[in-house]
Amino acid sequence: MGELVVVAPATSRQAVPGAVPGAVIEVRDVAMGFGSRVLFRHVTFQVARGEVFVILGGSGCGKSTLLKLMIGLYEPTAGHVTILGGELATASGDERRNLLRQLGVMWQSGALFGSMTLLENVMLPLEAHTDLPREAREAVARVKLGLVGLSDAAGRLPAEISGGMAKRAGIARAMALDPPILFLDEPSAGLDPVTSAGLDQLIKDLARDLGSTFVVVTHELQSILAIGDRCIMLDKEAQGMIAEGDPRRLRDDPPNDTVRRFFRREVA
Amino acid sequence: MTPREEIPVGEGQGDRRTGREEGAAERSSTPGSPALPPAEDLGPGRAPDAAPEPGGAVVPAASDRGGVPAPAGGGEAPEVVRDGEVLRFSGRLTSLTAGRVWRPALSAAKGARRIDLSRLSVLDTSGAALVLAAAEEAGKDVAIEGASRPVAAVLERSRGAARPAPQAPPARRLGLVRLLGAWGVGRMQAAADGVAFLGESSSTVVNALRRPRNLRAADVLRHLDEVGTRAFGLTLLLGVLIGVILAFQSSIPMRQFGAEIFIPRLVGISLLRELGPLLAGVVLAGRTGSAYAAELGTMTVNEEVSALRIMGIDPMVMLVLPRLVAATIAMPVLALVMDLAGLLGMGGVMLSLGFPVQLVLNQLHAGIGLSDMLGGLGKAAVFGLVIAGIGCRAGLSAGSGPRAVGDAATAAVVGGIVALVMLDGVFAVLFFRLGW
Repeated sequence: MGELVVVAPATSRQAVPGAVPGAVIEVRDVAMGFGSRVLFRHVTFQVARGEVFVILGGSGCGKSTLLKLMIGLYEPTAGHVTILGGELATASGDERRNLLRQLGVMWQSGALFGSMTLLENVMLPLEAHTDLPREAREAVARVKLGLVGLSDAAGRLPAEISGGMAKRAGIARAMALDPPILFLDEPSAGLDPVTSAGLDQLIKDLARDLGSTFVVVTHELQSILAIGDRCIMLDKEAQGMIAEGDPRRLRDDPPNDTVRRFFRREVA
Repeated sequence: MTPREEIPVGEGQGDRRTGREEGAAERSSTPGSPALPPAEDLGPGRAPDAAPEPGGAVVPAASDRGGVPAPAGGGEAPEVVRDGEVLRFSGRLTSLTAGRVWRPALSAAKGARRIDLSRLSVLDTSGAALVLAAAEEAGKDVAIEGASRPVAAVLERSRGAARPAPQAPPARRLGLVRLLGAWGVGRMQAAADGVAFLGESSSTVVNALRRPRNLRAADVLRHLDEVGTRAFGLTLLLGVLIGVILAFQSSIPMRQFGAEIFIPRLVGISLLRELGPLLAGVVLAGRTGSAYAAELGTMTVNEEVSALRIMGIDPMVMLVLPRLVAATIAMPVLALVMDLAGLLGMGGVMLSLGFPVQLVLNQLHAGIGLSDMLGGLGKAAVFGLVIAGIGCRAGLSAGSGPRAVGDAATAAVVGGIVALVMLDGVFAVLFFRLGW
């Protein structure tokens, strides 16, 4: 007779083999699905402080869903996501509020409030989370808009600006509280190459000068190679991660056919 | 020398560790100018003794803190001290702490010749905005000094971004005449648009009568369900309540003349000729007119209507016509339901007042005729057509942005109810002239 072996369940606090030093985000054995449809499973990675981390993959592989899991909008069906030592999925009250204050998110559409000017959009988080007087909020918001090159558009409404400007305004709003971690969902999607390159440069500059950690979801090859310090690649067929590492190394030395096809834009 | 003036801020005294010298070797000083050397001039990379606090806050290396991320807003409270010609910042100056010292710092900055950042342990871009605002307040000759390399990098980055708020152009002074003129032109434009829509929809309806195949039957059925079937419950409820209210209210004065027996005639005529169609119209305007405006408004904002036009499909035929037809058919039915429910409510009150059912029925038979009911139902059909048209027009003329849909829905309800009452007045005069 074999004897019964009791295995301790994994917890989010256990050290991960090959852990990234100074990790601010830890995604550990996460699975997600909708109904009976599995989107991905066994997704494990860490994001180090100050790096630009890219989540890439083809359409429908779950990149944006993984981002929403990381910012606590969705709860994983299995596994844990830890941000700055806290778990958003289970945090509540002040702990959750404090964790959320450490994050800034730029949505794919910009998600700017249409009834407010760009300046008011950026001032909104400052109003909610700080005791800055109004003139200070305005001065701070102008600096943030200046950081993304929108000083001259502060008084405009979202309906009056281009898609690229809306994305940059979204970044400015995400940076309003100087959060340690910024999540960007498809920052380059739908932009012309020049605007897209400008946005990539902006992300690199902000990461370098302000020390922010960026988690970027994208499938734009040029952006991935331009800004990414490290990346993971998700795949719809494999229902999970199929590669992790420096995007330039993955391009030059792809570990499998899917990665090779992705970086060389080959038809399957 | 100006006496040392300490500005009490925050709840703590801040970090007074004078021995704290992170980045000491890399302090930058630019006396005589508020400008710091560009961060690039200080060499690439980060100061070896300071790790970048995400979001621009610069803090000592993680190893000094046991690898624990520094709290964004807690820890050392910021402090601003005016010491003679020097304005000195210390502690953590971040978006979460800068509010405590903003106004005192700007007050204290006036006349300062130097701004000392050597005791600043944490700076993010919000804190940098305060330092820059203080420098502006102090004047152009102020020197910012003592910043460690990471602090200087954040400050430099923010300084490049900070621009004074543009002077608002002087507001155009509109005289009363110009204001009235602008209002009049706006109204005329809206009226012209309304007439254009009326013409376009009339032409669409006539074309549909000539070529019934243009009418999308499945859409008409769907809208009939939405406009009619799903409104039955609400209409029944309102009808019964109105019947009960009318009967009770009229019984008080009628009793004074011993004329309670005539309550069924009074309520019957009121409901069939006037209140049934009118209240059904209010239900339609509030429930369906706004829904049409919101649905078509969303399609307009999302450029679905433009896509239809580009595909050569007339939105009037595909979107407006089925709604007009459905509302025109459903509205008389709703009015009839309202009439019958009201009469039922009235009957209940009459029974409670001790009048037998047969007597109430006889009074109704004697007091109201088929023409009363048909006149009311005819009005109702017109109300339905107009209210649906107003809802569709509001949706199709929606502007852009999320507010446009709300504005369209509001315009549909307000326009629908105003048109309803005005049309009812027209019908009242018409019926009076025709002797109906």
